[in-house]
Amino acid sequence: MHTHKQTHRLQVWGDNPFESQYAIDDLVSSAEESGWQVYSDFAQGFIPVAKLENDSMIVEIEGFGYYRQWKHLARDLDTILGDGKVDQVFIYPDTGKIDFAIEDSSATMTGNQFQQRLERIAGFAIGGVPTAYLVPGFAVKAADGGIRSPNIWAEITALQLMAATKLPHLVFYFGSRENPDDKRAGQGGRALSAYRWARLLDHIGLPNNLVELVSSQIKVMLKQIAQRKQILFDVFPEWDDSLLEHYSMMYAKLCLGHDVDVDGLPFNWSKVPKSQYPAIGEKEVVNIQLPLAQAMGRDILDCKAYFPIAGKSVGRPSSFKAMKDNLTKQIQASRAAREYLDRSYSVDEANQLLREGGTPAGNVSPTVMEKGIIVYERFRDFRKSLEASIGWARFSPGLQRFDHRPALVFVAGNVVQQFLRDPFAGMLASYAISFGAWDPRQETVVILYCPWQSAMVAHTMKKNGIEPRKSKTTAAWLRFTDLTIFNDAVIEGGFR
Amino acid sequence: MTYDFKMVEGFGVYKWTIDFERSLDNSVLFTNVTGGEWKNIRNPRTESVLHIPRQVDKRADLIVILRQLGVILITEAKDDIKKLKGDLRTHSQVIKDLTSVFSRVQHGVWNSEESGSTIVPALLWCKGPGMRATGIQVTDLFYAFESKLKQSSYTGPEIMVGLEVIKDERQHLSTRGYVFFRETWKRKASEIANLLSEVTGNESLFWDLNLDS
Repeated sequence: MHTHKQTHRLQVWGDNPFESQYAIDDLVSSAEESGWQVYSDFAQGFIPVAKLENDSMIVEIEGFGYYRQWKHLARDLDTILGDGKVDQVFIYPDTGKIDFAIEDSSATMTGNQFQQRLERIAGFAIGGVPTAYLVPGFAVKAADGGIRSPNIWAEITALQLMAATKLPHLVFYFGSRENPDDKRAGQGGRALSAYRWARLLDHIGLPNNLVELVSSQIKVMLKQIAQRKQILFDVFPEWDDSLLEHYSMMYAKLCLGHDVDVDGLPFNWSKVPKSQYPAIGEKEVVNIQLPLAQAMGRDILDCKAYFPIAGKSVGRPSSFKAMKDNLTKQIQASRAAREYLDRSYSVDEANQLLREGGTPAGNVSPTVMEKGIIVYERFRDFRKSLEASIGWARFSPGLQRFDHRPALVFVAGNVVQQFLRDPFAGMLASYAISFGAWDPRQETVVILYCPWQSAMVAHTMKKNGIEPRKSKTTAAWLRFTDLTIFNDAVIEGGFR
Repeated sequence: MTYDFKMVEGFGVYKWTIDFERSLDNSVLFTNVTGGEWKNIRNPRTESVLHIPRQVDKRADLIVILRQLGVILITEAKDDIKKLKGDLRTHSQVIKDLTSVFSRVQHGVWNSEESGSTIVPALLWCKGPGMRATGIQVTDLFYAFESKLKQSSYTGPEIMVGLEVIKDERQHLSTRGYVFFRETWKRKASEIANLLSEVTGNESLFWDLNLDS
């Protein structure tokens, strides 16, 4: 007897056509393994299409690469893409639902490169879209042939995003020590394929193992944090390796729509006892004696604040000439917009950088503090130091309202014309989220300190003033920062 | 349903990639459209990486091996044929650099038959409403290309290939091959033209460069 089959339509959008075809091929492969009949072809000579069919259902899939080259790109997706383009986005066009987004990175991640893509993941997350981030668990670094593993900022960011959005944000790992860079090795590639397929089955109302997949991947992420947290952090909030099962159950319940007591979740930095603050000597705090840097240094020595990370945050020094040229450009940009800024760019401070930042090799290092992240137990202490050390800025009296919250200072000490260029925007996003900016338990105040940059790197001149530039990096800045201290202006914004 | 789109270079590279892959097994070695695991030049026959370009290296946009002819096409692509002229010198250098890469046998990765392939320079462009490529434009481009190749101490065959992508009024993409040659290479050029006709379903244009000299 002929039965009517229900038809569902799925669009796979990609950063390029190969990405959307890859995702469709992967769904086709999963469907075949599950006993479905499959057909693949190209529409209009180049649009990858597939039809998946079982006894009761038909799923028609189309793939579109290069998002903005298509007239029918959904407005919702177009808006979210302003935060950066992920590799694959799955949309059900009949309802307009953006089901989930995948960032698939094969680059060998070292240091902060792992964070480079987190601002776009955060953009999708805040847009109400679940995300998945596929990264190499083991990869060969071409420069030295050594095997590298990523740091754990993405896992912490993803778990904090789950707490903030109550949606799944997962990190998957491919490769193994024996077979680095191999997408077929390790559990991540297979797990992500299974997850992709389970989400489709779930959407069309067929039995699936979505809950188990989410739960087990969260456990993988938590294990990664348990194994590597001591490499990255000197200070880490309350955490118990014996509770990984419990944590994973809590996160799984949370992101699948159940109520959870969030007080039991990890990453509450506001509860780190002072006894855990790392002992630190006076010489290990400030490299270039700017007033605010000195004030923060004193706060660290007085145990009002601490460096949470283990390693140093030293940027690559520039030649003396390049540094001088870059500083001159900052001064010129600032001068052109002087009437809209709190002060002129400080030539004295620029000279101080050239003097105090000198390296034995004759280059200049702009690294102001020994480490780029400083956590304050209370914003009040930072505010007082700020107001005492930066007399030239205009502060609104309302700042005191946030005194009770914890605060995070991210020091972006580079001297560039391109504001928050890679990987800084991703670093800002991951630090803000990881340290609790969106966590209702903490509502951490996020401060970006750019001691060498004019505010004009982030703004354009208009007829009657200045306004933020339109780019994915300024989008991340505006989203994640409450207070920004440039060389020539202090800008308040955010303060959720 | 028909979807409207703006033609970009990457669609052209993708269209030729799927046409080659559909007709010729293990043919596409590299596309410059993607990053990630595809950023390396791979031999699909052995599923192995045969060359990792350095970040500073200029790259070709599409590299294809025509196994039955023992030919490798190294292609520079642009959305508009007019933009190719400015890249001919750089592309000639890319061809020279990659010729030495492809001529080396790599055990288990790239065998002697593959390393004996003839390198053929190629250019890819897109054509459609508002992106016209006339016959004169195309032949002019290839005379200029031949001249740049000679200036770069190119010692390969006197054959060049054009890979055209055509967008029609129905938003449909199709492909067409062009083969330019000097008399001594007529037979090989003819084989390439015939194969491209099979790949595209459209008859290739076959042009003896001596006709205009």
